[in-house]
Amino acid sequence: MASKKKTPTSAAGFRMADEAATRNAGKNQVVVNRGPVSPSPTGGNFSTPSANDIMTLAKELGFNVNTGSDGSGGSASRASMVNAARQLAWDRKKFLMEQNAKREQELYDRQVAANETDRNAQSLQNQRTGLDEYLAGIQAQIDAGPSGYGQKQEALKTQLGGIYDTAKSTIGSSQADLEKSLAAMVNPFAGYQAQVAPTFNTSNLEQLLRDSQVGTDPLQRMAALQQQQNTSQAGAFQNLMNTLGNVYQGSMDDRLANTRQGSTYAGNQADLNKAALMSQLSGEQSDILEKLKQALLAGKLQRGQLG
Amino acid sequence: MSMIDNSPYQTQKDARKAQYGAATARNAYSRFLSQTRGTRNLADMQTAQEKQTPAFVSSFRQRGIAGPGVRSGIFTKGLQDYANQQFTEMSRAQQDLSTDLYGFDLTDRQTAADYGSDIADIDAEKNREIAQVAATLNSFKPFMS
Repeated sequence: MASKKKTPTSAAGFRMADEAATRNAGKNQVVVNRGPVSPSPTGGNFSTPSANDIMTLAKELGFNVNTGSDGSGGSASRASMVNAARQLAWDRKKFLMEQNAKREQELYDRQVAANETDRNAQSLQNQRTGLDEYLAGIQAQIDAGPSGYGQKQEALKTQLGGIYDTAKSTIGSSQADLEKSLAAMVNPFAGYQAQVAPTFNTSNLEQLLRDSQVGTDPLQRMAALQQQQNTSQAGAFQNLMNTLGNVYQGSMDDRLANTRQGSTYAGNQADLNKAALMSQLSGEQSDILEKLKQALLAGKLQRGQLG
Repeated sequence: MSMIDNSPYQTQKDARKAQYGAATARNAYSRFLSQTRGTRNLADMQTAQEKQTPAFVSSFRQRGIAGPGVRSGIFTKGLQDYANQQFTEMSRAQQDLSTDLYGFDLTDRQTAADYGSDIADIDAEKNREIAQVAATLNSFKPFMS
């Protein structure tokens, strides 16, 4: 059974009805649209009431609009009532227009607020998604190890490590070449044999002495002495050459020992330099790792995953 | 990787080698001249002796203190002194020649030793520079901060 809507019978009734309608309108569910809403003012369709409409309204309001035989309700009174009715109708329409405008404004404001909330939510969602990706990227770099977060240093370590290995090999081969070169050098004093000065042949002189029946002993003694002297001289010179040869060989051995020492030192220095450089690069990687960890921690704090 | 210019070392070695070759050649030629002069001197001395000896002996005979059946102490002593004198002169000349040749041998060996030492020094210096550059990688340092 359909319920009949109650019709207000006075200006106050109309006002109360409108206020109730306004309250109900405020309780309406707001449909949230992504797009902005452009409110359009609603003023209703207002047209000037006709005389019949006014008369009907006056009757409904309880005015006596008949020009009956009792003489009441003269033309002046009737005009007054019509004017009052018109004023009343106008007030009502104006009131409705104002209420409608308020409702529209309120709806518009709610719509705007809803849109703003929606945008904020979307933005927050996007931010959270971006932050998650950012944090995941940082974590992936950390998990990948030095080759992930310190690629440049890692590549440099590999490259310089190879260079230092080659350098050390170069040091060794250079030393080997030098030793080979020095070993190939013949000691110029080695193998020298001092020639004993030949003793003058005394045979002619001895023959002369024998022919003259003179003894040859003094001459032979002198020859023997001379031979001994020559041998001694050659021996002394041989000793001198041997000594010089030993000095030369000692100098060469000393030089070789020095270069070996130098090469060993250079090899150790290469190792130390390599270690220092690797340490420096590892330090840089550690710094990067620390920064990544700090960034990850800050991101998680912002994300609300910590604290 | 090599940032070492080896050419200066090779230039030094080449120059030193040329110097050594020239010195050795000079010494060898001097030795040859000395030996030639010494040998010739000995030969001249021996020739002179051979010419002088008969005259020396005959001088004693002329004085009647030497000859068949005659044996004087003066002649004996004089002839022995003569023989000793000749021997001594020839021996000293031979010894002088030998000493000169020793000197040339010494110069030759010493020149070779100096050359060898210099070459070894040059090679050692080259080796030292190679080792130092390789150890410190100086050429790469500008790229390392």
